[in-house]
Amino acid sequence: MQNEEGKTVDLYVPRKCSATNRIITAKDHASVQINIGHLDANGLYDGHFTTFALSGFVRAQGDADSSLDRLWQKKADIKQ
Amino acid sequence: MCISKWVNHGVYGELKDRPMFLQRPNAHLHVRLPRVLDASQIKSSLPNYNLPQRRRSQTPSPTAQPRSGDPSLSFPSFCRPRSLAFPSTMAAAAGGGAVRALSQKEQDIQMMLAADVHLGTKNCDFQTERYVFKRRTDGIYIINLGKTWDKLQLAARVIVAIENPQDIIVQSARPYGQRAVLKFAQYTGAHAIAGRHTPGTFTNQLQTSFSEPRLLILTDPRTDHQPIKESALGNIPTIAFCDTDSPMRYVDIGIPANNKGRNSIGCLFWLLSRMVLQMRGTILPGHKWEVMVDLFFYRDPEEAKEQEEEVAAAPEFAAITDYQGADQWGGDQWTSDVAAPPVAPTGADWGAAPAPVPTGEGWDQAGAPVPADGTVPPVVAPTGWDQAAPPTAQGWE
Repeated sequence: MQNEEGKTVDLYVPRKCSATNRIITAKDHASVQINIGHLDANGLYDGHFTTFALSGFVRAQGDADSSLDRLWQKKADIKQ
Repeated sequence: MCISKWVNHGVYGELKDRPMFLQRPNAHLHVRLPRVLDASQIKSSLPNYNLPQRRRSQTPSPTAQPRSGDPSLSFPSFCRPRSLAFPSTMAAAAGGGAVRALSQKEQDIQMMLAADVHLGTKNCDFQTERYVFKRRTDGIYIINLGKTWDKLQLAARVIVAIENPQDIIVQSARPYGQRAVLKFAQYTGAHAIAGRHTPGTFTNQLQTSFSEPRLLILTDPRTDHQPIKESALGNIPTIAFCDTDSPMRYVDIGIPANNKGRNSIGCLFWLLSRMVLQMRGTILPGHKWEVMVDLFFYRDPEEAKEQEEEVAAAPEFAAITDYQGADQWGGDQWTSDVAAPPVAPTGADWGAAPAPVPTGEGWDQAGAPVPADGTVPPVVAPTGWDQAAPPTAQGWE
């Protein structure tokens, strides 16, 4: 959270689920963070990647696959 | 009386109308002939009706065949719109590059079709419903291979993004995927677990096989359910080959495919490893991978035994060499036979000894030296006696 001056006061800022915007707590052992690599024109990996975080709730429901597909479709249209 | 009257009238009528009766039978005969012709026409028409029925029964089969052919024809059409769906890639890559990419994708899809990757099961999970292309009349769902290829590409990106390949674990408890998993690990540098998953591998630090991978690749979410549970306790992302009825819980990237056929599993792992190597640059773009797909296929122990028997044929050749060795040993015997001739002269020398025996004069001559020898024996006798006396005295003393 931020104070009146706009500075961040918290020492630890938790991540958020890219699919559902849920907070990924420190005790959420089912959550994952997936890095999808970027390719150049020749189809070679260029060292950069896009990161998606998924909470354990989404994975437990089995929606991780469809969520990742949807997220990557949006990113792929932009970056590929 | 009435009856008699009728009868009488009849008799008279017959007599009067005789010439009319003669004409009528002729008329009947004329009428019957066309009836016979009609009957023949009717009979001839019946087989004509049968023949077109047979033709009708034959015609549906050729129409059924193009129906079965249509879905295979429509597969490429579904793939092409996806390439059109990515106009940015078309613009980014050159025209030749686009053609190459298209050709490679189509070749891969043809290979997957040959390996029966597109055949699902009779049941369909609602979360894999979006990968289904169609349901066959026998109830089997057919997977859209264009989407399979896209998910393979996505999985390859995730695998490439991990710096240390040793942090990736490839696992298959299913026998059909064991060889494929080992080969995949060999070519990509990942760590393979082919066989039973020891519970606690990802959670129990006391175990020798404990490891904390950054990525887990599975063959079947249903068979490999234990590593999936443990990945849910350790923040490990999961890639799995999902059939139409596979559970999708805790699976982050599900590649829709037939994970129950040996050719299918091997083909998928081969494609995935080739994609990973191409993205890493190990395989230059535009070049083929020399490793054959057959290396990734599961082989029955019977086939291995047959090959071992073929290898045993070589020991049979060694046995032949042993037989040649026996010939050499026979040669040694021949050498000993060559040594026999020098023994023969010894026999001749021995044969010379009996020659003096038949000679009586020789014997007399032997008798003649006996008196001379008689002088010698006393010399020998005291020598022997003297030799005997000292040890006796010593023994006696």
